[in-house]
Amino acid sequence: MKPGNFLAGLLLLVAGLAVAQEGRITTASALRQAPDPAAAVVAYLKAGQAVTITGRDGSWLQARTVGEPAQKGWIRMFDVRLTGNGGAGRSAGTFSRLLDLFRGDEHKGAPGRVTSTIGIRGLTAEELRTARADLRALRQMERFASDPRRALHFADEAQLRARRLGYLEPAP
Amino acid sequence: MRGLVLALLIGLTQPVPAFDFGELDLRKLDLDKAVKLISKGKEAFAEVPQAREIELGRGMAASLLGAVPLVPDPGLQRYVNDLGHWLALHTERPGLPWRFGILDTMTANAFATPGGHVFVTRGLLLRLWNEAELAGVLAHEIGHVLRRHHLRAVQHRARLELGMDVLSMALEERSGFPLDRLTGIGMELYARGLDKGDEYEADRLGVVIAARSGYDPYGLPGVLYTLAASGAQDSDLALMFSTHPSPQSRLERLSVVMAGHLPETGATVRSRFDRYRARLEEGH
Repeated sequence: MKPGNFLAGLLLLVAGLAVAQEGRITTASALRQAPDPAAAVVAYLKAGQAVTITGRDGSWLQARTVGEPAQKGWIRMFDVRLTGNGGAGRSAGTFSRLLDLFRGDEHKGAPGRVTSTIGIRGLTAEELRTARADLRALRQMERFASDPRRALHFADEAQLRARRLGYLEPAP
Repeated sequence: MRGLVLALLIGLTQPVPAFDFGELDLRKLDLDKAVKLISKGKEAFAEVPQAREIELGRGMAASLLGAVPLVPDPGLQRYVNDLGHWLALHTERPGLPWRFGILDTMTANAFATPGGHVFVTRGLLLRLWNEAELAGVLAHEIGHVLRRHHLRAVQHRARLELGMDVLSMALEERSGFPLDRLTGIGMELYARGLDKGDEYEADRLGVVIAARSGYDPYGLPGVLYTLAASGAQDSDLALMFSTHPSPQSRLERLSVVMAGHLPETGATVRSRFDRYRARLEEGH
C-alpha cells in the first residue's frame, strides 16, 4: 500500500467512526481488501448478511461484518442498504439514506478536497446566456486533439483492456 | 397526395417501439403542411447533416470558451483528450472530430456540444477520486453527442420559439444556416438543462462506454454519490443541480439497469489520475 493510500484510508476511518451505520447486503458479493475491483477478496458475503458501514471511497463503502470473527473490507455501494434507524430518515428512495450517510463528511475522506479556489470564479447561468464566442480559444483547444494512436498508447500505459458490451435497456 | 399522407399517419398510429413520438397529437396535425413536407421529398426522420451538426457544436464550444477559459496547462488538456478519444473509439461515432477541454472554473459541471466538443470543469475534476470517475463523466457527455440530445433540443426550441425549421435549413445548401441564433438557443440549454430522459439515457450509455474502454463501470455512480453527498446547498454545484435530475434519482435508475448487466471488473487508475489532479490543485 502506498503511504498516500494508507493516509487516505486512515482519514476515511476517522471520518467513518462518526458515521458508522448498520446495513444489509442485498446481492451476494465479495468483500475486498481495497476499494478496487482487482483487490483480493477478504470474504464472500451472502444476501441478507448484516454489515457496519464505516467509510467511503468513490463507489465503494468500507464495511465490517457483524459477528465473530468480524471481517473488514470494501463492498460496492449498490450491494448494500441501510437498516435500522440509521441514516437521516429522509428515506424516500432506496438510496437516499445511504447517500445521507456521508453528507457533510464528504470532504474529510476524499483525496485532497477542493481547497485551491482563490482567484477562480464560478460560472452562472447568466454568464452562459450572455457569452460571446471566442474563436481563438476554440482553435487553441482544437490543437490539443488526440488521435487513435495516442489514445491506444494512453490505454496501454494504464493496461486498459477493451471489452465488447451492449448498451443497457432503460428500466421498465 | 392527401391519401398518401393519411395512410402514412395511420401507419404512425401503430405501435412503433423504436420511436417516441412524444406529444404528437394527430388531431391537431396540419395536413396541408404535412403534404408540403412530404412533397418536398424529405424523410420524416432525416438527420441534420453531420457537417452542420459539427458547425453548430463548434459555435457552442466557442461561446462556452467565451464564458470560461481553458485551464492553461497543455499537458492536462492533452490528458483529457487522450482519455476522451480512447472512450470515443468504443462508440458508434468514433470518426467525429472529438475534442475535450478542462474549463477553468470552480463550478462543478460538464458540457457536451453537438459533433464532439466535450468539457469538464476544474471544480468537478477536483472532486473525483480516480480516472474511472473521470471516464464516467466524459462518457456521459459522449452519450449526449452520440444521441444528438443537444442538437435535437435546439431543433425543437428553434421551431417552438422562432418557427424555424432547422432541418430544412441545414439540408438546403443555398439557404443560410443561422448559426448565431442557433448557438444562442444552444447556450440557453446549458443554463436550463436538457430533458431528464436525455440525462438518464446519457448515464446508461456512459457506464457502458467506460466499461467497454476497460474502466470500472462504477465510476459514474461514484461521481453521483459525491454530488449527492455534497448536496444542492454547495454553491459550486447549484448550476448542475438546477439543470440535471437529482443525483439520487440517477443512482436509483443506474442501480436497477446495471444490476447483473455489466462486468464487476475494470481499472480505476488512481496513480496517473492523482498526478494530473495534483497539477490542478497546484493551480497550473
